[in-house]
Amino acid sequence: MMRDAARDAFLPAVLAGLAIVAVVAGLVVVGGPGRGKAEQRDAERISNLRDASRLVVCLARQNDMVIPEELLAQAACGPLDVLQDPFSGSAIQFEKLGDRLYLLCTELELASDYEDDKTFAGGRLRTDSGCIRYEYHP
Amino acid sequence: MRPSDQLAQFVRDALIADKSRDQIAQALEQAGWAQNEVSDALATWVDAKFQPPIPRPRPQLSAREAFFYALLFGALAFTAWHITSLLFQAIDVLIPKAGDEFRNWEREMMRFSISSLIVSTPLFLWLHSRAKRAIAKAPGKRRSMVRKWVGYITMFFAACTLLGDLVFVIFRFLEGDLTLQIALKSGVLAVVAGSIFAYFRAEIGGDDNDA
Repeated sequence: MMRDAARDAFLPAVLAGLAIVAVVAGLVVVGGPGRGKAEQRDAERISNLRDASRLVVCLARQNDMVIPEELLAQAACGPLDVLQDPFSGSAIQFEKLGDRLYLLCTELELASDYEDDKTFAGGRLRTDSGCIRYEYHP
Repeated sequence: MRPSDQLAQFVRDALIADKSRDQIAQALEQAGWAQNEVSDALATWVDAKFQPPIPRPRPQLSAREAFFYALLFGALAFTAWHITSLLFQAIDVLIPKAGDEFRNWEREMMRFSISSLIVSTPLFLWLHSRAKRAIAKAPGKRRSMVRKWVGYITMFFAACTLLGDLVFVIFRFLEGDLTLQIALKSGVLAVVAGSIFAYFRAEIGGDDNDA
């Protein structure tokens, strides 16, 4: 009788124990909802950088196919709202590096999650500075 | 009439004609029936003096049972899969291989596994205790065909997983590539598959031995 009861409880006990260990280990590795929210915010920032990059390309087309020194609103390219961090409201930094090269910099909360110097959001991300270097191909 | 029905009918007629079980068995074996077929046919009828012979209860298939056991074993399979997946990924992160990076899609997979376990583990535990209570109340439910079939199918997959795991460990050992990461993953798989196999062997195999 005792043996039967122990047998009946064996698999549920093992599975429940392993499930608890797995869930705790999983939460330690991936983090809780706070980290998830930070990831969502970074995803939105990256999407915003893509839009900012499109804006730069549009402004360059309005400027004889040359990247402008400064980003000024043009009716054909829409407002400059995308040059702002959607959460902190701080400005996205723009820097012209050459006729065909420019930088867009934002502050990623989880920059270390991304691979350094890999193609990213249409450019190449430097995780130390949070800047993406873009090449303009007219 | 199927041969098994003919056999059952013959045994019934013989019992009504007051032949002993030994006589019936001898007659059937002389006619070429296998020993297990003869004992199965005799086991169909209760060994009592009552006339006409009393049939033993036979396993029945009910849609309700099929639903219940499909849900129970589904919850078990889901739980086992996600425990293994989550622990594999945790091992990858805690003991990384050179050049391995933890990517965002892996993080999402782990979150999905955590969510799945939070639902499927309590569901399995609840269904399991419900099944146990139902069997304790009506031991005849042990004869459920669905329970047996799904149990044996689960054991088959658990056995295949254990064998595959063992082959993989030996292969990596011979390749000189049996790392701590691989050993731990194989251990997790062996514990999950082994406990499922051992449980059903005791559970379903025990029923068959009792019969």
